[in-house]
Order: sequence, then C-alpha cells, then structure tokens
Amino acid sequence: MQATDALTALDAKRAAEAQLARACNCPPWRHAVFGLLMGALVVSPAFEQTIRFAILVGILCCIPLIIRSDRKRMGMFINGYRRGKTRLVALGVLAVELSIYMLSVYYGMVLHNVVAPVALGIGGAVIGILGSMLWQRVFVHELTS
Amino acid sequence: MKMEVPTGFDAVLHPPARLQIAAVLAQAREAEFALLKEITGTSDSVMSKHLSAMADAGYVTLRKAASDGRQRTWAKLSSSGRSAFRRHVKALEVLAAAARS
Repeated sequence: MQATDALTALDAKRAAEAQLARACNCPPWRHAVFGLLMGALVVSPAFEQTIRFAILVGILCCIPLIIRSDRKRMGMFINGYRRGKTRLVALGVLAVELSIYMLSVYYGMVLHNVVAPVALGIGGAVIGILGSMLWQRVFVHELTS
Repeated sequence: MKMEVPTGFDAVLHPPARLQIAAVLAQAREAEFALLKEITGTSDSVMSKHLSAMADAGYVTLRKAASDGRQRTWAKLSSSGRSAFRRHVKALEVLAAAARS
C-alpha cells in the first residue's frame, strides 16, 4: 500500500462530496414550499376543527410529494436530520416552529384569538424559509470546505 | 513510500469510484444510478460492476423503480456499508497523516 494511494483516495472522496453539494440544487420555490408548510401548521389553530384537520392532512400529503420532487429533480433525497452540522439547524428550526405552534394553539384554541395565530403563522413561514436556506448553506459549506 | 495497511482498511471500498459512491450514499438517503455515474465519471457498465461488488459485500442495497416510464436503479448504503466506509476513511486518514509526517 502506497501512501500516495491514500491521498489520492481521500482527494477522490472530497471531489465526490463537492460534486454532490453542487448537484444538491435547492431552488427558491423549494425553500418557499417548506416555509409555507411550516406557516400553515402554525396558523392552523386559528381555524375551526374541520379546517384545522384539513390543513394538517394537507401538510402530511405534501411531504411525500416534496420527497418525490426532490428525488426527481436531483436524483437523490437527503434527510434534513442527517448526521452533521445541518442536524443542529434542522433541530433548531423544529424547536422554534414547535414553540410558536404551541403559542398559536394557546392564542387560537384557548383565547379564541384569530389574529395572533395568523401573525405567528406568517412568522413561522418566514422562519421556515430562512431555516431552509440556512440548512442548504451549511450543507454546501460542510461538503466543500 | 510503502506502508503497513492499517486496521479498518477495506479492499472492497478502496477503488476510488467505490469510495466516491460510498461518500455520496453516506450523505444521501438514496441516490439514482445516473447521479452516481455522473459524479464518479464512469460508464454504465463500470458503474454496474462497482455497485454489484458493493451489493455482494452487503454494503449497498439496490432497488429498481419506474419513473417517467423508465426503469431507474436506486442505491442505498446499508448500515454495514456505512460502518465500513467510516472505518476505511479513518484508515486512509491514518495513512495520509503518516505520509505527511
């Protein structure tokens, strides 16, 4: 075994990872879709039970469609909670979204306030979009640095 | 400089194209044959041979699925493949570090 073989192999691995990062193109609409789903979840307590249920079912139905779209567009699917620095971003976004969802539940279902869940929903959508964009940046940086 | 082969070195994963396949599959849950071919810069037949060798070793699982009226092959790294990949990369890093020092 030559030492140069090891260096060549590691270079090949890094090159493949950098190419993977380039292949993992996430267009703006994809970030927007994720943000909209997060926003829809947060705004749902503003509505009566039937509509709330329909929103939640709609969100659940969108998940396999997004996965299918990612597979078709990129030829792969990358789990948002994959091992690495991106997991911190994903868990951070999840924690923030769940927190504002709970606030929305409190305002919408306990206090019967409609305005607060709508405002929180808009915030949830923005956080979702920014979180998705941040995840993408961290992923590309991790694989290319 | 000729060196001792360290623990964790895996002959199945040593060819650069197979290491690249494993590197991609370690990041993606599943990847399509065409993407792997593009990243490794290999032909259909060479990619098939690499994937078959990795599947025979139990490192990769393959499945075929129809999409847009075409049959496509998807590859996924198994848990033993993931462990072997990590060990192999560590072994390569040990060799590379020894070569640099």
